[in-house]
Amino acid sequence: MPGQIQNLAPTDVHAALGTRPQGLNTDEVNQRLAEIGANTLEATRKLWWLASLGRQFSNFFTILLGISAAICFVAEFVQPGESMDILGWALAGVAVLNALFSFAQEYRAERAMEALRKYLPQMVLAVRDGDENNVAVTSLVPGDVIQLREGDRIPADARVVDADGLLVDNAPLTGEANPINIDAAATEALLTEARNLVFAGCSVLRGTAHAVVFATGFRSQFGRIAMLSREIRRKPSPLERETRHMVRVLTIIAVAMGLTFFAYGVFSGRSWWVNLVFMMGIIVANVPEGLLPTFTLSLAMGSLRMARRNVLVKSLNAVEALGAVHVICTDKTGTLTQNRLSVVRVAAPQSVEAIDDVDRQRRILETALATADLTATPEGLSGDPLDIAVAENLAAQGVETSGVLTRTRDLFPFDVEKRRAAAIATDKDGHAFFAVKGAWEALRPMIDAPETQRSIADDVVAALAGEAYRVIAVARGRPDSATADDRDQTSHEHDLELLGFLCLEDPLRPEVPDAVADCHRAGIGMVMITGDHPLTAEAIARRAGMVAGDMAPGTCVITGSELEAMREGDVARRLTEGATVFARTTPEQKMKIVAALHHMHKVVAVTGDGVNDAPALKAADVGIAMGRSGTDVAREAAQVILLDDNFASIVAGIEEGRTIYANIRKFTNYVLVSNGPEIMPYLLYMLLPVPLALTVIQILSIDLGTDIIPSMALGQEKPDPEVMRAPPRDRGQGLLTLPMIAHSYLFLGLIEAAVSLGLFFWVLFDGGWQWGAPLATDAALYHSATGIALASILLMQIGNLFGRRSATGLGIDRAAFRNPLLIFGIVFEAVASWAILYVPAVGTVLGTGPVAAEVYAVACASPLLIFGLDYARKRVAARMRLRPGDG
Amino acid sequence: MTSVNCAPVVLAYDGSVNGDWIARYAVHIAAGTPTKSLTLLHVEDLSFVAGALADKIDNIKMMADVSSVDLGVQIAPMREGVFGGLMAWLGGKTDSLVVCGVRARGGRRGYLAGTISERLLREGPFTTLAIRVMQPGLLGHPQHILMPVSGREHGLRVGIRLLNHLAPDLHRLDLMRVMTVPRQRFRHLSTLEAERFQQEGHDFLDNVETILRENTLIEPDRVHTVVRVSDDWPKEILIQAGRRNCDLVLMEAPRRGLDGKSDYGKPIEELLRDAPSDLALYRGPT
Repeated sequence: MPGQIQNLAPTDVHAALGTRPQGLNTDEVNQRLAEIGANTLEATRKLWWLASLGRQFSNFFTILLGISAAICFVAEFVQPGESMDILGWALAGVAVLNALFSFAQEYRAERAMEALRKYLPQMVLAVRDGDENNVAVTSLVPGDVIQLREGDRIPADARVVDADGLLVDNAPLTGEANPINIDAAATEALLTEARNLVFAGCSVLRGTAHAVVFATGFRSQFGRIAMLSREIRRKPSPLERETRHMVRVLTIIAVAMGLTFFAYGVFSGRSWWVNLVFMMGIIVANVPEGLLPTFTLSLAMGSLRMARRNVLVKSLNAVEALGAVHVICTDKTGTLTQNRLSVVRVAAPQSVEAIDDVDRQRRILETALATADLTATPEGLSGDPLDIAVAENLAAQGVETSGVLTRTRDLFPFDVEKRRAAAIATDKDGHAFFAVKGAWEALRPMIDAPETQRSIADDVVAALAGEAYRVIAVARGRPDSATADDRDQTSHEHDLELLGFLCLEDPLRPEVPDAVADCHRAGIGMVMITGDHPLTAEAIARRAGMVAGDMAPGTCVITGSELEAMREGDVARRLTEGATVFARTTPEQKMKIVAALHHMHKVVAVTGDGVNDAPALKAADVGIAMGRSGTDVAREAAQVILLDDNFASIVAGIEEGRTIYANIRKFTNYVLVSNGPEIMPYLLYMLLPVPLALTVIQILSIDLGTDIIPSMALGQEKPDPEVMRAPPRDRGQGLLTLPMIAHSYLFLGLIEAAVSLGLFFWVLFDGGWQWGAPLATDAALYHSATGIALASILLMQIGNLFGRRSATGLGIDRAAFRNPLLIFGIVFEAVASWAILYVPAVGTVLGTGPVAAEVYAVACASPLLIFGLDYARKRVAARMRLRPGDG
Repeated sequence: MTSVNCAPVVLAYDGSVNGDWIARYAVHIAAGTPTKSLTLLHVEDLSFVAGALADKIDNIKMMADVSSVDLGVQIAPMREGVFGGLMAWLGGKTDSLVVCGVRARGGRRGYLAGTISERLLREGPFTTLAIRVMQPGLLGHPQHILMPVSGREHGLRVGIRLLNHLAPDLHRLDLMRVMTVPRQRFRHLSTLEAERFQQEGHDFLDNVETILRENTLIEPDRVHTVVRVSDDWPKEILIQAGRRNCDLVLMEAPRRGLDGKSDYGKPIEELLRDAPSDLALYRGPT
């Protein structure tokens, strides 16, 4: 029964793909090209960016700002001179900036595709009409016969029909670090694991082959990953969701209040025009226009701080998302460990203890080195890390490694299927020997020893593997020159002497245990996902402190094959029970683990480096790519790039992320407080026969002017020592909470409103105004009164600023004076409050005027009032929390 | 009604490379029927030189021989077009399973919209299976199938019968249920509501699994289930197809999608355009 392409005998491949050994003819190529399309990963969505741009300009907040801007322009047209056009431009500017920023985020996602395209070559040697010619890779069609040579990038998925020592690097596609030997023989393996197929995007390390193309463009495995990466939508980050919610709530409040007062004004007989202006005023006063740009600035500055800690953030929302992470799914090699193998023990066949005899140790190491495939480069030796570790160990013992390497006559490089490397070499005295190194299971049948000794060796290997060592068996024999062909490896593989075992390990990064302990304190779960052996993986996890000490050996591990058979719910259950290590997994299985964690309502960060990690990186809440070892595709798909590939840097990033979220809450609270004194004048104006205490342009001067720098200063606050001692924040708790609204609007907002309106009426009554009397908006008295109302709000915001620095404490400490933006913000607000009143040019723009010195002096004292009352509230709240019986 | 299991399998063949890929599915499906017979039906539309077509049909014969399938070839004349030609031959054969393909390239026309296959799905008084091949290397032998199931019992029964043809090669079957929620509601869906939907989906799939056990030879440990709550069911299917690295998505074609229009955002076209695996759409007799 014929099966898939890899199941066919090489002789049947041409017929199955409608071609022949001499290739397709030009007509066939053209016909197939017209039918199937070019071999390219070009996205067909040429105008996708237009749709994306449209989406950004049609969201709720942007539309609201747009409508507000339009009303301002109409107002300026109907009644010029009110500076409504300035307001209109300001609102339009904020709307455009926010939309463009969101668009830039989405545009970046498409760049992953560009990175993928770089993996495909430009030209390939194809057999067409019986001739070999270089043809454009884009013109390849299914059925084309191609020739592959050393150094080639593979242009399409193809079935090998004849091969001579073909060795390919599938790392770009599968992340598999070891090169793979490819031959033409039929296999029962799955299509993606078949050793007679080559895949687009991968490269030929050695050898030559003829292959028949069976999948091109988006039909190739590479193309499928590209499509999947494009299709997977990243879920909005917690901050995006919360910001969206906050904007919606504030906008609904603003619009509802605006419409209510518009209706009230209409029924009470005021003109439509006056009503419209007041509706606008109330909306503008309620919407904190400066908040979203401040968010962006704060996140941008946070990303700079993270970059200093080796965490490069591509998407600003990831800055905060990192802080919300509940679980980190991390790779092992290079992230938890140093990605540098070293030989730490040379053990005898019958004992786990290290061999003391130096000569015997050297003999084992030299035998292992004889099978090494190393090249000398100006930077040092290049090749398999295992071979390099052996060479380094010998060099440290003073052995000339190049001498050992040059005495190797015939090398049989490491074969993944055989799980061993071998060589025929000569020793110093010129005696030939056959050397093998590899997995013990692979060498065991070749060893000439009684079964009892081999069983002891089994136990030794198990014990060493249990200590997280990578165990390599080394054996030696005499080359079977009498009967065998030197090039036939298997003919020499019998009656070998087992010399011993090399114990290698990739040492844990020294900073990892502390970082893991930080995670435990911060309530962050960790999951290791690795392709390594379960015992090795578990031992590393235990050494790092990831596994609870009371968990029985093996209970924290799930293997890839177990995972394959498990349902999402089962994975979630095992994770709840303490499973921490996923061993022998494929990158594709990361998606299943992420899905199970999402099933448990967790915010998940995932690390990855290969092309096939890209979908998982995009599916995670925070995708983290490796900066050193990662592929371009992984880096493009991720939101965060770890510049030093170090797990500890992820934890540092989380600390920064948490700090940034805490800071965002601080400045949101700070900004909302000024909404109180901004709204109140409009309410009074509509309900009572009094002048308007604050104009729209004055409100904007606070929201888009003086509040920005202090907000940014709060965004720059240093991490609180407690930030990594608390569990991840509750996802149900939004950025905008009822207590925050009550505190902002009904407590500090009301106090600020009372003080500013008190000063406003003081100046009015002092200037001769009488209750209910009309007052022209261009009168000097009106300018002075609105001026002091505005100036006092700015001054009181200084008190508010200190109060926001600490949720429970005073908020004034040394750190406050080490934050230059904070100092600058305070000075700026103080100077602005003075300039509003006493600098004529500023007064002309804002419609303000000077007041008597004693009035300004009272305004200058108002920050103390705000600060004092707020601190008193904190003390009362703290006492209530401490009251016995409150729990 | 004659079950699809014993239904004669007919390949609507157009002579293209894509048609050759579809032919492999048809041969594989026919090999799974008791009669092991397949009829290749080609309507002469003069787009192929007779010699080239004969070579291609010979190739399919070779494929059929290897799979011990008895291949009959019918070259029918056009009758007011290719569709008329096909229907003239197929019209009375309501028990047939007609295997056909969609366009190999979509572009503005879409993959299914306006094709003969769409009309067969919409109007055919027989079971129609329209396939888009994304992985030609499978040679029509999918081993891992993702089967999204809707609540339509008739559609489910037809799907299960089709699964029976593919059962011998099947390593894994993922049954999928997308609990679709309107966009506005989805945005504000509480965790509790989402969990309730999930549970409903799992209950539904438990029933489907029971039906599967009773009606197919697929071993229970090869069947997995997945439930997604979403406001965008095609996208969920695409994501699962990719995540699970499946070979074939097998699903009933929604009738509403068979209206001849090639709108870019149409769910069926979105699935055909973006599926990372082969995709087969079926409908039972109308």
